[in-house]
Order: sequence, then C-alpha cells, then structure tokens
Amino acid sequence: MNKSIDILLKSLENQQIIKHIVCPSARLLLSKSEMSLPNPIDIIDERSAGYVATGLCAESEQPVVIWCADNDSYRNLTSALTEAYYRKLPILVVALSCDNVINQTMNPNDTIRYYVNNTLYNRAGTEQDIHKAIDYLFAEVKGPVYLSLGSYQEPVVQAENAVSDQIDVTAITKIIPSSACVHIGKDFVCECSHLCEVVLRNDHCTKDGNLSMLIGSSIVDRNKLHVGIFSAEELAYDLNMFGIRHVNGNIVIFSVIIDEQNPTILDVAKRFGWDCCHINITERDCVIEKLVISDKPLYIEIVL
Amino acid sequence: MNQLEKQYDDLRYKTGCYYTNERNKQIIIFLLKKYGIKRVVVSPGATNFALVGSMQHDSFFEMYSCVDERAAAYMAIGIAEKSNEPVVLSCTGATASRNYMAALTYAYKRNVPILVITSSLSLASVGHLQAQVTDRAHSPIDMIYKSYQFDNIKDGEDEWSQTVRCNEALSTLLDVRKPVLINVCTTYSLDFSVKELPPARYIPTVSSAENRPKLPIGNICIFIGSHSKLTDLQIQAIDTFCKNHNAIVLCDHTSGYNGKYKVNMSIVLSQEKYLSKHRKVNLLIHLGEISGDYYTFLGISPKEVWRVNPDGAYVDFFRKLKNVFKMKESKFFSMYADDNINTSQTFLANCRKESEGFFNTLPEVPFSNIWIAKELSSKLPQNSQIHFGILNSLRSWDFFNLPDGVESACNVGGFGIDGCVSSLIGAALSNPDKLFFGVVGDLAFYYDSNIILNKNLPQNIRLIVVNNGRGIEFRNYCHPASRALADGADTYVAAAGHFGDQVNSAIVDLCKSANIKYYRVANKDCFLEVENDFLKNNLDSAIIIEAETTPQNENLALMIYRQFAKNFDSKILHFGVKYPFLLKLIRKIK
Repeated sequence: MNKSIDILLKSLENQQIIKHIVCPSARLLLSKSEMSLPNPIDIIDERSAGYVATGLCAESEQPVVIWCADNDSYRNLTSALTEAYYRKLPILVVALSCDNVINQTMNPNDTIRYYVNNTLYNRAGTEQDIHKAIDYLFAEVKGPVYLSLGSYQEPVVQAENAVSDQIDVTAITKIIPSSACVHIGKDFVCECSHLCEVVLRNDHCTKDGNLSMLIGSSIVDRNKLHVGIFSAEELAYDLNMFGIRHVNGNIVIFSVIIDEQNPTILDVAKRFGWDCCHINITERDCVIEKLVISDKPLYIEIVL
Repeated sequence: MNQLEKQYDDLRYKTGCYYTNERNKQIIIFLLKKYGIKRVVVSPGATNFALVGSMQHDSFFEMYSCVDERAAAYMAIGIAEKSNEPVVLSCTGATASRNYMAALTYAYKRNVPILVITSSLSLASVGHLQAQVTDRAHSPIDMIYKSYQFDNIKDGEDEWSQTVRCNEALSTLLDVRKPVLINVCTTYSLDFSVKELPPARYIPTVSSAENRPKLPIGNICIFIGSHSKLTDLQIQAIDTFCKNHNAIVLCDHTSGYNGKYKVNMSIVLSQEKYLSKHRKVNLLIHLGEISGDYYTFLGISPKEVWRVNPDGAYVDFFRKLKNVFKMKESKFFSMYADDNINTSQTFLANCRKESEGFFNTLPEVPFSNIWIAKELSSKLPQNSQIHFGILNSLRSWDFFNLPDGVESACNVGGFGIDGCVSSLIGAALSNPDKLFFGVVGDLAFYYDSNIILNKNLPQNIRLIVVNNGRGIEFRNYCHPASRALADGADTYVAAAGHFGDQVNSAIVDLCKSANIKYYRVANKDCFLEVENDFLKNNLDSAIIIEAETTPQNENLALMIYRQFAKNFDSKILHFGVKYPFLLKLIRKIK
C-alpha cells in the first residue's frame, strides 16, 4: 500500500501542502516500509505533535499533515484535534494501518470534522478517498480531516513489534533482587525467571505511560522495590512524572541507552531530587548495592 | 509517604469544608463509599473542585495528585493492576479528559477497572463556544465500556435517575472491569457546608448465592412483564418458591406463565372507587421485560423491588429497586427456595378470593372489545394462540383469564401498532398445526393491512378487527387526551375518519382478494351467530370478523368495569381526583 502514500504525497504537493509532522508511531511504520516524507518534522510525542500541527497551521494559514499509526497512539492526538476543531484549523490526520488498529467508528463529536474512511471496512484509502480528503481541507468550514491508509487485513507495513527489534536486557534484570517488582518497557526482552513480579509492556502498542504505571504500582506497595527498565523514548513521554510528589525511594529506573542519549532527562531527574548516575553495562555490579529502598528514587542511565 | 506527600496530605483536611451541596456529587461520593472504591487520582482544575473538595475532606478516600491527565490515567492503571481494585480518575473540563484516551484504550484491552469522572458545565452548554466545554457525549467503543451524563440535578426525577445510573456504573465497573465514564456537571457551588452526606439508595448486583440478601418477611409478589414461554424448570422453580414463601404471581397475556400461583388482579387494581388492601406487598420480584398491564403495575404498591434477569440491567420500573440479581430466574428461585419457609399461602388465598369475587359479579357491558373478550376468552380452543393489538385490545383481554393450553402474545417490545397483524401471520407461518387468533383495532389493522396482499397467506388465522373508527385508546374517558380535548381528540390524536369512516371499510375487499372468510357484525347477537365458526378448530379456514363498535359503547364498557366496586367515599375520591396529590396522600394513609 505504499502506492497510496505515493499518490497522497503527489496530490498534496500539487496543492502546495508540504508541511508534514510525523509522530513516533508513524516514523517507525514508514521506516520499515522504506518510505520517506519530504522535509518531515519529527516530534517525539503524539500529543505534542498534534499541538505542533495546530501552531504551525494557525500561523502559516496553510493545511498541515500529521502522520500517525492508527492504533492507541492516535488517541494522544485527540486533545490537539479538539483544539483544531474549535479553531477550525485544516489539519489532515493520516492514520496508517497497522496491528492493533483502533475502532474509529465512534469518537467525540468535536475532534475530527470530516471523516473520509473510518468505518471498519473502508480504511484502505483509495485514490478517490485521497482526493476527498484534500477537498475537505479546502472546505468552506475548515477543521481536522481523518484519512486512513492501508486496509485492516493488509496493513501498510509489517507488524511493528518484530521480535528481532527487541533488545535483550537480561544483563540488567539478573542483578535486580528477586523480591522487586519489575516493569519492562516495550522494546525489551529478558530472562527474568528469578523475579517474582514482572510486568511486561510489550503488549502496549504505544510507548507512553510506562513510567506512570510503575509509579502507580509503587504507591500501592511502598515496602517493595519497584524497578523500571525503559528506553529514553518511553521516559520522554512521561518526563513530567519525574517531578510528581508521589515518587518515593522505592523506585529505581534504568534508562537503556540505545543510540545517542540526550542528557536532559538525567538533568531533570536530578533537579527533581532523584539520585542519578550514568554507567556502562560492564559497571553494573557497582549499582547492585543501590538496588534497595532508600529515601530517594534512583535514576540510572545504562549503556549496553 | 515522603515528606512532601505528608505535608500535602495534612493540608487536605485543613480546608474548613465538608461536602458540597451539589446533589449529583453527593450521590457519587456516597455510593463510592458503599461500593468500597477509595483510590482516586486527581488532576488539577476548577470544574471538578466541588467533587474533589468534598472527597478530600473525607478520610475514606486515598487521593493522589497528578498534573498531566495522560500520566494520571496510566498511574491509575498501575495502581489498579497492583491493588486489583478499581481506581477513580477525576479531571476538569477542556481537553483534560482527551488526554486520558490512550491510557483508557490500554486499560480497556487489559480489563483494568477505571472509573473516569469528568467534570463539566451543564450539558446544555456544549456547542455554544463556552470556554473549556467539550463534547463528552460519545466515546470510542474500544475505550469506554459504558458512559453516563449526570447533569445538574433539578428535581426528584433527576435524582432518582442518577442514583440508579450511578449504582449501575459502579456495579458494571466491578463486574466487567473495564473503564466506565461518568461526566458530572457542576454549578460551581461554593457551599461545602454539608457535614453528613445525605444517603443515596444503594442497589448492588447479586450474582451468586453467597452474598444474597435476606428475603423480607411479609407478602411477596412476583411480577412478570413480557416473557418468552416459561420452561418447565422455570415454572417449577417459581411454584416452589411461591409455595414456600406465601407469594403470588402477577402477570398478563404476554408473560408466558400460567402456573399455579397466577392471580389475575387486573380488574381489581383497575378500580377507580375501590382500593384493594392486597395491593401492598413487602417485596416485588420483577421478571421479564416491558408490560402492557397498566392496571396491575400501576396499582401494585411494593415496599421494595428485586429485579431478576440474566442481563443484569438496572431496570427500576417501580422506582423502588433494591437489588439486581444478574442470573437466570430459575437459579434465583432455587437459591431462595428453602430460606425462611412460610407455607401459609394466605396471600394467594386472599388475592384469589378477591379476584374471583370480582369475576363472579362482573356487570353487563355493551357490545365492545371488552364484551368480546369476556365472551370469547374462556372458549378459545386448546393448543391455540391469541395475539393482541396495542393497546385497547390487550387491555380489554387482560381483564380475563385464558384457558390452560392457550398461548398469547403482543408486540409490547416496541409497543407500536404497526406490525401486530404481520406478527400474527409470522407466528402462524411458523406453526401450521396450530390455530392463531388475533384481536386488533381498526388503526392497527389498516396500518398493517398490506400484509393481506401477500401470496400464500397461512390459513390457520382467525382475526377480529374491532372497528370503532379511530384510535379508541385516546378517546377512552380516562385518557389524558380525552380528558383534555374531549371529542376534539378525534381530529388528530385519535385519527378518526379514515379507512372509510367505519361505513365503507375495505376489509371485505381485502379478504375477498386473499380468499379469507369475512364476517361483519355490529351487535352481540350477530357476533354470537358467527362465533362457532370463528372458534372452529380447523386449520385451513382463515376468518376475519370485523366487529363494528362505537366509541360511546367502548367507553361505557370500560367505565362500568372500572367503577363497579366501591370501598371509598366517592366524595373523597372526587376531591382526590381534582387534587391528585391529596388522593395519593389518602391512599398512603389507607
């Protein structure tokens, strides 16, 4: 279905619609299908991507396109779409079909103004649909437009959760005390049979909220060490949770560095009173003694 | 708790406030406590301050603060998963709740019980460019299991509705364990002076024997609305229960029950000058679906109601709902079969005596649907089925019992007049070995008359069309339309003057084209002449009788039936009818 994307891009270009904001969920799908967008603006959080779009659209007075996977991550756009709805901003939301497609047949009335193809069976995105979507962007009454590409049975790209993409963090889990409650982020696999309580988030088709869920769990059982193993991408979604007043000394976060790491998360955590350190996986034994409940939460950036 | 947490936890009790005076929130808070739901994650804002301000005063609630609603929802998931208990989310207006959506989608998939309480200005303010007012009427179906809109409470009807729905919301949350939404409105009241939370009716769902409530002592009646034909197992379970608990069954021709404990109280309870002392029951067990037996369900006066249905829906028809039993009827009755046994059966005997006393002294009435019902009801042949049109036909025939072995039906599901004859024919098609009778009014017949144009109509049908030239329902003396508009109701409300205005009725032509035997009768003698043929038990001779009656006679018949008994001072009654609230008071005292 890359053909649909090609047709859409050409049609948009013909109308001089050239601003493309790409959500993380869409970036992954597009890279796997070896598709690229012209001058994309990559934003690390769907919610902010939506608001970047509203700001860009309002200022430029031109239609803007947001690319997102048509799964749970799409729902993070809803607040920005509400903003766009009430301010009558012409934003085209391109929802790319994937595994775990959400049901788009009923939504709050004040988010998308024009649905092109949101029933269960018409979400392939034909050439006719594409032209319709673009026409809506120039309608008398402007507002967000929804266009789905790729059918339910034949997604645009392969499943985004290929096991081979996941990173083995057994080297970390093996030093965690067995009595701890451990939350493992979406991108990771591990051997954790010695741990009595493990929560895997690989069924969560977006990367948001994992730190928040760990904090929630830690509140219920304050006498148990709660350890999270997450990527920086995941932690970025929940950045403000480092500063919540309900964070206690029974929390340890391992931020697994995959590519380059922006030091900002560590700086923020430190500012909010976390104990912080940056180590290499070969140095992991030096943190074993820190994996206990103390009076401060602990943030460890770890390079594999 | 860390020091910061402790500091704010202490502060929460230093507001000098108690509970809000906004009733919709009082109900929610009261019931949250009753259902044991204590953990709340609150996001900041103005529109939810009445709810939050009230909760924070109450140490029952374990409250957490989280600025970002998306994180708050995920945090709530973490708390709920860990504790295996539901968690409440509270947020303000604007886009706040939109940030819950990704997390709630996840919670829905993983069956995490989250109660989302969003706060808003009044529902009417949606769509009028009020700041912070978003449209929360619809939610994705893979995110919220059930949603409710609780507007600001203006009257008793609002309070009753929200009380029942709040119970339903919390029960559903605990049962289904998926996100449930309550959007509650506020007037931004500054009154937090309510020291003691006024109670709200607590209506739990019971789904197993272990936590079943005790049966109240006293008269018990089972009221069955429309129901498929009860199975032997169901009948046995009901009969055993009634035998052991001094109970009776009130039902009508749509209830599918004709067992030992049935008492037809329709005429008794329809009386306008007589109040039966048996109308008061300590417990009413409500089975089945919509009922057209107005006299019975309006006349009965239960102290409390238990609803029994596998769907577990919160149906508070009598406005006295106390428990919902989400289970099969046979399981319910078996569960209670041996609890507090009382085999006196005095209630049954007394009601039977009263009912039979009425039947034995029924006065004469003119030629009318009621007269036809009285004449034919006991004579219907075994193994036949009779269908009734909405509504006058059902009401008239509900006064009378049908013989054993005669089934009955009526379109009380949709309660419309638009398909009564078609349904009868559909039933007849399903079973060519049975005779299918029907009684409908002229409007119901003509509405549906083109069914007669179909080829291959079954021949095992016997239909009476009571043609009084209008929707007689609305011309009945006691109907509000008749009381307000008198004869003028004929113009539109009762739609008189159509279909040949009785004089040129085309039923004869329809029958001719369909090869159906046709009779037209306009009085009792003529009816009696054709009665035997109509009742003859052969399956290959369809018959339609057009019985021409008058609105005057229909009215008179109904009035005679509803006013022939008296145990009430008629002057008081007359006064009471003029001032209904006084009548209600007098009846309560009696």
